[in-house]
Amino acid sequence: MIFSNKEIIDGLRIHNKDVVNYVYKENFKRVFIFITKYYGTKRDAEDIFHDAFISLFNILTEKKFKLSCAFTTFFIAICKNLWFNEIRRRSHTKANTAFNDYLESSCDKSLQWECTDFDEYDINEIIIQCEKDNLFRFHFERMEEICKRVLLLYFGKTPMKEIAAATGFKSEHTVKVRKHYCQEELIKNIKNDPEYNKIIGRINVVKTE
Amino acid sequence: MTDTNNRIEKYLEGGMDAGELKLFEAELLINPALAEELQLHRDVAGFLSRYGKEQDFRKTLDEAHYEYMKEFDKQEERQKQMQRQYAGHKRRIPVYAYWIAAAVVLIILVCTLVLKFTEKKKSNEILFAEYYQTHEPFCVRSSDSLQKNPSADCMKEYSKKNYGEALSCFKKLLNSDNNNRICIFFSGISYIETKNYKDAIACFNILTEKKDINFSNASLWYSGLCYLKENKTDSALVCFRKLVSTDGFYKEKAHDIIRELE
Repeated sequence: MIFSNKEIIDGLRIHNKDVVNYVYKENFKRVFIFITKYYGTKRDAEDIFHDAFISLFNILTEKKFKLSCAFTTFFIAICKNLWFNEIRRRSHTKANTAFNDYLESSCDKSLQWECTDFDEYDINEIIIQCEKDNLFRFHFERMEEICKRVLLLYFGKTPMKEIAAATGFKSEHTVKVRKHYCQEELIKNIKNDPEYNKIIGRINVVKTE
Repeated sequence: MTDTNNRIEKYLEGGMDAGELKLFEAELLINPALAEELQLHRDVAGFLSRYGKEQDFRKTLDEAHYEYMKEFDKQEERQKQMQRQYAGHKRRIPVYAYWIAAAVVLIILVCTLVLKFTEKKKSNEILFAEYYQTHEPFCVRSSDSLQKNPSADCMKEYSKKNYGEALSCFKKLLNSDNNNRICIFFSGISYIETKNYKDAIACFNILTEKKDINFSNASLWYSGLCYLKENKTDSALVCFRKLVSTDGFYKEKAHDIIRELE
């Protein structure tokens, strides 16, 4: 079965398993070949593919999304960029070698979208968003259970009264105080992580470019 | 909560009045740290608001991932197996080929060993057969043509290969002249032809002891061959080595036969 761009986008928005399977079937092997060619392992390919999927899903849920190129081209471009970012993070030497190898072997002398008329989304924006999400997720998942529950309910737009009932807090005020405390804790942990400063550094580089 | 955080939260929740809002937005333009902090709060809020949906999607994704990877691993394994089979097919030498090669090597080894151990026993016989040639008879004439040489009749018998008759004839002559070197030498050859190697050696020893210039080297040569026939290799070697130290006709032959014996 072949899905059009629209069918894939709509399918992912509603977690359609057939569409997810289709994206795997159409793209994983290519990503696997690419990553293993550039110093990665099968495990790396699986992680990058997963991250690309999540990033894509987040874009789809937040914004109106329209593709002017084949979905596969778009998706593989995310994977390639995520991987170069990852090996740049692991080791600069390897990243430079891999990057140069790639540019030499690629007809397209750019790591931007390989879709010619795609300008709605900037690849760097998506990659940075993915990195931020990974960092936030890392710190969020290490928080106390009660903090996680309060924050998720609050940002899931659950009324304060219901949050208080669900978490066992006496009043809405207590929930609010707790929410502020947990949010501040999360932000403090994120800001103290050296990875955060690296991401900010990259954002500034992208802005100046 | 810090004052900055309070203001950011108030701003994001829409809790600022017009004055506060104007002031805050003006500050954002001149204070990059505040703008960065605001962005972080926005990003975290965005992350937390979509976290639940993301988790639901992860479940679908994990299921698809698990199913796909099972199939992918199977495919990879099949591919590797095919590559191994192909590589094995290209390189594989049938087991029987190793057995044949081993058998050939073993046969060659056994033959070499058999030859090595049997060569010496045969070699005395073979060497004798290879090197022995009946000595050509002399054309015996008297300086005085009218007077017949006494050994001429014996040589006639020798030439006719009647070695028994020749021997009887030589014996008669030697009874009357035991120093007749022609008779002694050809008696020795006749003894060889009649396979009486001991007596042949005795005849040749007489001539070698006398160091006869005409018969000494030939006698050593035939003695050596007789010793070979008698399987007395050491004695044969003594004769041949003596010949090697001379410059005579038998020097090269003696050299060759020594090499084969050693």
